Amino acid sequence: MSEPLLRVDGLSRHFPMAGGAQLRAVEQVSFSLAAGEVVALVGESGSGKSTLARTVLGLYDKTAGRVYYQGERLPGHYRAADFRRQAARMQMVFQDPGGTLNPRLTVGESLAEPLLLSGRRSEVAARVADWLGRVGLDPSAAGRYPHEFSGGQRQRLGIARALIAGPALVVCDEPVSALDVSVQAQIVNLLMRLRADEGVALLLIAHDLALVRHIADRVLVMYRGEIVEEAPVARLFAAPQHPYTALLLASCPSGDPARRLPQPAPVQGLEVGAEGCQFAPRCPRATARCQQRPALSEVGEQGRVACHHPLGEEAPRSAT
Amino acid sequence: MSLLTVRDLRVGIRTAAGVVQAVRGVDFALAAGETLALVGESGCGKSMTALALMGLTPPGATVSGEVTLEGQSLLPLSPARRNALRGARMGLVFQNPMGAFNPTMRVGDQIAEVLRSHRNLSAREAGARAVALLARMQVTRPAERARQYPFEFSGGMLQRAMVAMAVACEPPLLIADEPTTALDVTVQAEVLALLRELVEERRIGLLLITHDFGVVAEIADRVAVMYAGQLVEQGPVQAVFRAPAHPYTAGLQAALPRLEGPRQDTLTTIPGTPPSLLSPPPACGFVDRCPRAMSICAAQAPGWFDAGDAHRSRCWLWHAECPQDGQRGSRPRIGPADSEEVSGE
Repeated sequence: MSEPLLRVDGLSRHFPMAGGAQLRAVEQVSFSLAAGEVVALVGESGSGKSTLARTVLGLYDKTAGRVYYQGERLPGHYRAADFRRQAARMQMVFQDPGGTLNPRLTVGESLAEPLLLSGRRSEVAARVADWLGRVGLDPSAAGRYPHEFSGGQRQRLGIARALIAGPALVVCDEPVSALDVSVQAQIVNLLMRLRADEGVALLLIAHDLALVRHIADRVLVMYRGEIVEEAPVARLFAAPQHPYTALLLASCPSGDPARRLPQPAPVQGLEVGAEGCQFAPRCPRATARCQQRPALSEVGEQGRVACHHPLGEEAPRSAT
Repeated sequence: MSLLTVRDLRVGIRTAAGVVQAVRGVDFALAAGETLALVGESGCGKSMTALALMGLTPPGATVSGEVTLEGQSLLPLSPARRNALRGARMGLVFQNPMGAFNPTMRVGDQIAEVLRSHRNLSAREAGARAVALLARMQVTRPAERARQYPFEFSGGMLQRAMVAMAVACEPPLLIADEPTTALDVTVQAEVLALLRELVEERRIGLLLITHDFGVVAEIADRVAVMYAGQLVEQGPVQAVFRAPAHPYTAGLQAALPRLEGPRQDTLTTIPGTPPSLLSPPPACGFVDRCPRAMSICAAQAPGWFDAGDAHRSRCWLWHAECPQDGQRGSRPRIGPADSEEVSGE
C-alpha cells in the first residue's frame, strides 16, 4: 500500500473578486494523508484552511490541481452522482452543529441520509440505533428533532452522521470551537475513541493549538493560502522551523499566570512583491532573499518548510 | 475605596417559558488599576452581569441589587443618566467590533463623536484626538485609518479602534466582554498586551468577561468564576490557577488540553450539563455534576468560605466540620490531580 488514502497535488482554489482580480484562497497545495492518520490544518483566519478542506471534498470546484482517493483521481467539478459515491468515503463534521442538521428532519432521518445515498436502505434502522449508542445518545433520539438537543449533543449527532456510512476520511472543521470547555473535552474524547475503534483518518481544522497537540499526528501550517510548514506534531511544537509557526506558538497563552507572554516585539519586516515570501512583511528574519518565494522543501524526517531562513535547532519557546 | 462594588446583583429575564434567573446574587469589588476576570461557560450569566453594570439589559429584564461606581449608586439612575455615564465613566469593549461600529460612518468620526458628546470638544479638536488615540493603540497610519470605514479594517485593527473609543474620555472603568475571542491568536496577544498597558499606565479598573482560562492567566489580577448565575470562587489569579478551591474550577482546568507536558490519552470531562435557570436548583448549582458532592450539597446552599489569602469558595468542602480524608479542619484537596482520583472510583 504505497498509495496514501488521500493525495492532494498542486491544488488551487481561486475566487473572482470585484474588478476582475482573483483571490487566491488556496494556492498550489500538496500533501498526503495515510489511512487512520490525524492531520491538523492550522493557521489564522483567512489562511485558506476551510477552503482547502472544502475543495478536497468537492464542495468547491478545483481551480487547478488533482486530488486522489486511494489512487483514484477525483473530479474537478462534482455532479450529484459524485457526491452520492463519496458519501461512504469522505464526510465532514462542521463547526456549528445546529446549523448543519436539517431542522425539519428527525435525527433518525438525518443520520440515514449517508446510508441512503450509498444505497444501503436495509442497514438504516440497525446502524442508526447502533451509532446513536456509540456517540453516547439514547436510541430513542432517532425520533426527535435537532432543536431538542444541546450544542454538545448536536455535535455528537453531527459526528454520528459523518461516520455512519463508514467513511475512511472525515474532515472536522473546528469541531469543538463552538462548545463550552466542559463539553469540548467530551467531544474530543469521543472523536479520539472513534478514531481508534474505526481506524478513520481525520483532517482536523483547528485554531486551538493545545487541542491540535492533543489530537494530531501531523500538522500542516497554512499562511495566505499556502502550506508553509509540515511536521509531525511533537517536532512542530518542540522545534518549529518556519518563523510563522514560531510566532503562532509564541502567541499562545501558557495558561500559567506566572509565565505571561512577553510584550510582542515590533517587527521590522520586509515589503515584498507578489513574487516574494508572503510572511516577509511580518518576519523578523526576512532578508533580501525573501523577495523570491521560498519553495516548500524537505527538512529533517517527514518535515517540510517554505522558508529561506528556517529556525533550525533554535527553540523559540525557551524565551518565554 | 473600591472603584466598583457590586452587591447581590440579580437579573431576571422574562421569556415565553417563564423568568430566567440569569444572575442570582453576585457580589464583587474592583479597585482602580486592577483587572478582574469574570470567567464561566455560556449561559452562566457573565455577559448578563456585564450588561446590567452597563445598563444595557434587554427589554423585559429586571435588575436588582446595588452597583456603586466611584461612590455613585447606578441602578436607581434614569436611562438618560446611565447613558451619560457610558463612555465618560465606563468604557465598553465588545466581542464583535464589526457589529459595534456604525458601518456607514468613518471610524475616526465615531471615536470623535464620543469626545464631542461627553467633552464638548469642537469637531476639529475631537478629530485630532481620535487620530492620537488610534496612534496610541498602535494602529499604523492613524490619520489615514481615521478616514476609513469599519469594513476597511481587519478584525484586530477594528478591535484596537474600539478600545480607542472606549478609553477616549479616560473612564476609570473599562468593561470588556470577550474582547479577543473573535481574534487570531497572534492578534489576541497584541490586544491583551495593549489592555495590560492601559491598566498600568492609566490605573483603569478592567472588568474582563471571558470563557478562556488562557486569557485570564495572561491578564487578570483576580478571578471570579461564575456558574449557573452565581459566583462559585473568587481569588488572586495565581491562587485560583495553582490551587482551585471549587470543584467546578478544578474540573474546567482539568478539561483543557495542554500545550506542554506529556500528551494525555483522554481529557478529564465534567459529566452532565448546567441546570436550567428557569427553575434553578435550591442548593448548590453544581451538585449534579460534582465528583465531590455530599448530601448537604443538595439540601442547603453553601455560603462563602475562606480558602486562603483573599481566596474564597462557595463549596461545603471548606466547612470546618467537613471531613477531609478523615481529618477535620485541614485544607480540602480540590486540584486536578485529586479530581482524577475521585472520578476513578
